Amino acid sequence: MSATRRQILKFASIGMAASMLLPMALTTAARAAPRSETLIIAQGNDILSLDPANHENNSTESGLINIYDYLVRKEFPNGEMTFVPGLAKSWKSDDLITWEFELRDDVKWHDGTPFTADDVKFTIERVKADQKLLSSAVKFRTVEQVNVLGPHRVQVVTSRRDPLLLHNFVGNGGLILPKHALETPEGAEKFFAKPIGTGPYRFTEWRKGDRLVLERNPEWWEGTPHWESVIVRAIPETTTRVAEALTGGVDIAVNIPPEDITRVEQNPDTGIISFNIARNFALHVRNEDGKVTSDPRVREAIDLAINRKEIAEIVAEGYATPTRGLFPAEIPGNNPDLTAENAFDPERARKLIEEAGVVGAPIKLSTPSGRWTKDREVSEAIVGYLQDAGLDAQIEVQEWSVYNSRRDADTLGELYLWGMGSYTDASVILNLALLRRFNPHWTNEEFVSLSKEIDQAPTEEARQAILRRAQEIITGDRARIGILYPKAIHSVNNRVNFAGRFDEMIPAEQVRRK
Amino acid sequence: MILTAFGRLLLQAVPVLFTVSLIVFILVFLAGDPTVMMIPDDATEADRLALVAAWGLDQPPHVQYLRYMSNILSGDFGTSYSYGTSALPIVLDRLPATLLLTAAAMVVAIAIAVPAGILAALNRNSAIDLAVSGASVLGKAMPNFWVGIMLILIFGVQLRLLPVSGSGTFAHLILPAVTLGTAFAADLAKLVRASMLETLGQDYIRTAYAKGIPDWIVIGKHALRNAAIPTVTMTSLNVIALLGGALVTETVFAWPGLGQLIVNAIYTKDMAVIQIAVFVITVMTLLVNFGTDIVYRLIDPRIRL
Repeated sequence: MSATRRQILKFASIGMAASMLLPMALTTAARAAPRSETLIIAQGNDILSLDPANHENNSTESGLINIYDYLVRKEFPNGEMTFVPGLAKSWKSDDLITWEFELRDDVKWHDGTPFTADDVKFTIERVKADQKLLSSAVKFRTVEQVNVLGPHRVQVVTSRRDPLLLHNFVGNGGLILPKHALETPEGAEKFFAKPIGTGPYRFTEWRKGDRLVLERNPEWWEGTPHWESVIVRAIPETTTRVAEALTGGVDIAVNIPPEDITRVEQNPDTGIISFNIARNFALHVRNEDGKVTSDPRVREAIDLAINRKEIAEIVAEGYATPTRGLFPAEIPGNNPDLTAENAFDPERARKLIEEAGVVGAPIKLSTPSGRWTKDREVSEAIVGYLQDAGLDAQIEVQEWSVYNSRRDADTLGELYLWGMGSYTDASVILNLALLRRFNPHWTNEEFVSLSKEIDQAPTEEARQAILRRAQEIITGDRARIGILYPKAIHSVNNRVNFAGRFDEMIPAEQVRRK
Repeated sequence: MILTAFGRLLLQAVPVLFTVSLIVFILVFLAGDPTVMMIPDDATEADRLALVAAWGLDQPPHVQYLRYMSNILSGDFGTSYSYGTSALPIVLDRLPATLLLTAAAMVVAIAIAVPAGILAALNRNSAIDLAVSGASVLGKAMPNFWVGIMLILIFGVQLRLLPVSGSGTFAHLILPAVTLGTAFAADLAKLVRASMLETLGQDYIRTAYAKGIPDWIVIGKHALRNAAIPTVTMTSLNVIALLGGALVTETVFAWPGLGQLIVNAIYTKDMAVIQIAVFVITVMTLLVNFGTDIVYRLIDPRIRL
């Protein structure tokens, strides 16, 4: 018996050693390009999907834009968003209903198959047809028909005038997919296990929860890509991300907290870049009957009580712009008059609270913690200002999934902080169905009529004027109270050049070795 | 004998897995609608309801559960809401990293705790004993995330001896394994010490010494084996705890294990991933328990499987 036991123990020991070594052997099998030829980017979370139409996540999009291409690209020269050619060389529409795109004829998929208009038609129709795809909720809603006019000419017909059609071709869900590779009996699941695109880098490996590994596509239509290999790493813990940046483990580390900026700047190999992004912090105000905030005087008092400049300087340590607005200047249709100038008047705020007879009235501000940089801290500061104004303000910190569910169930406090972002146009404000999701009890006749007029605006100037007025109304009635435009803060290794982008994307081709 | 016990394990697994799946389904269902987390910010309520219908979440809960179970029986473990692909490979992809970290942490824990516990017991009330006890208390008192970050700052940032985070090489494994292993070593060392003290006071140990058997044989063969049962029990409990993922350590070291996956799945109410992950962990737990029983039997032949 003892011999048997010994044998079993030996077997168990070998098994244990093998269980340790096998995964390591498997994970070390990946080939590696030299570090100097490899760009490593550290994101705060893993990419969620290799399907560009089935995620709603900036980090994911930032990884995928290296594999796939957009039909048109958005760029931000002089701080204004403009569309530039991508897979489409040019486009035109005389009536904003029928659009024609002239496609490049020198583009190949990573498997060597030529890119054609059929791929564009397939991509649009796929998103429209499959409601399980998350992008189907927001992309190509007005598209009625997609007609292939030739191998490299495609026509898109919308159900109504749609001045924003091009916006559908950028951002989540806009990257173009190969029809021939997806329309196979094995379908999407097999394709996305090892996808191909037309982008500068080919998919090599996705180690879920760890990294996306890409390699240079020497056949790329814009020339030889800059890096031999690109690695997009998921490092959720901020301290670890900073440590990786300091030791040169990564070239770019996103979302550096303000308190670590000095450490990164003092390190000889790293520096900080900071830039405006498509996001705003606003207080959403619940104004239904029975709430202390149903009184417009109280809402005005809340607006006047908040010292936005102090929050931007102290809480965000200068890495935010104070504002009363809802869209930063780069977004078409933003209202530049909604500034934080003269927005802080604590005396008047106190007087209004007294006039409304609500001194000491309880009011709850709901906030997530850690969803957006300094979200809880911003909310804590606001609560302090509201207490100074005479309200019994309390903060309610909620875990993100609970917060989101309660927002949809309309059970958050009288005020809740929201960091809306990733928009490409201010027209999102006039989507009434969306408004009901965020401000279910607020309405305004003029606002509603503007939402109907916007589609008929004869010119872009007229359209933007409608949008500016809509923002004036909603912030004037304090259904939403703009607070800050936060800035992105990234660490960048001194061996590379990268200035940052307003859309928070990090295309490897825009990161250059010095 | 082992085969009979294994057959019993399989019989035991069916009701356990069924019960676990039902409990998880009820809990996730009660936690609310997953589409709230999935839908883009600029989507409307109608869009959300379309997504609800597309995923079949508008069906009554018992219909959803029966459909889910019948799919499992036909080999379809469901599709992840977040990833949009089959849930099973998503979970299985993470399993090697979790197993590796668990095994490495246990090796670290045992390598520290067993010699330390034996030394402390053999030198009761001496400086060595005090040092081991003090280190145990310290090890237990230091939170995992703090130990992890300190190790990163010292060995990764200052000394540049080891990689800060990630996975893929043996060097990547060292810091997370030490972080987890030292925490378990603290408990284990105290237990080994106590068990050894109890065993060393037994008559058969005195008899062994009286027969002139060398010390190392008395300690290594007679005392340690008899003191091992509680140590094995605690080790197996720790292994089970780790199989669910060491969330904090995984997060600090960006280690792609099950813990992070499960927590993210819970946040996003990704039912299929949660179910499969819990299934896998339950199966692993049953296997660990089975393995522990076998080890008991090997250590003490009087124990019957």
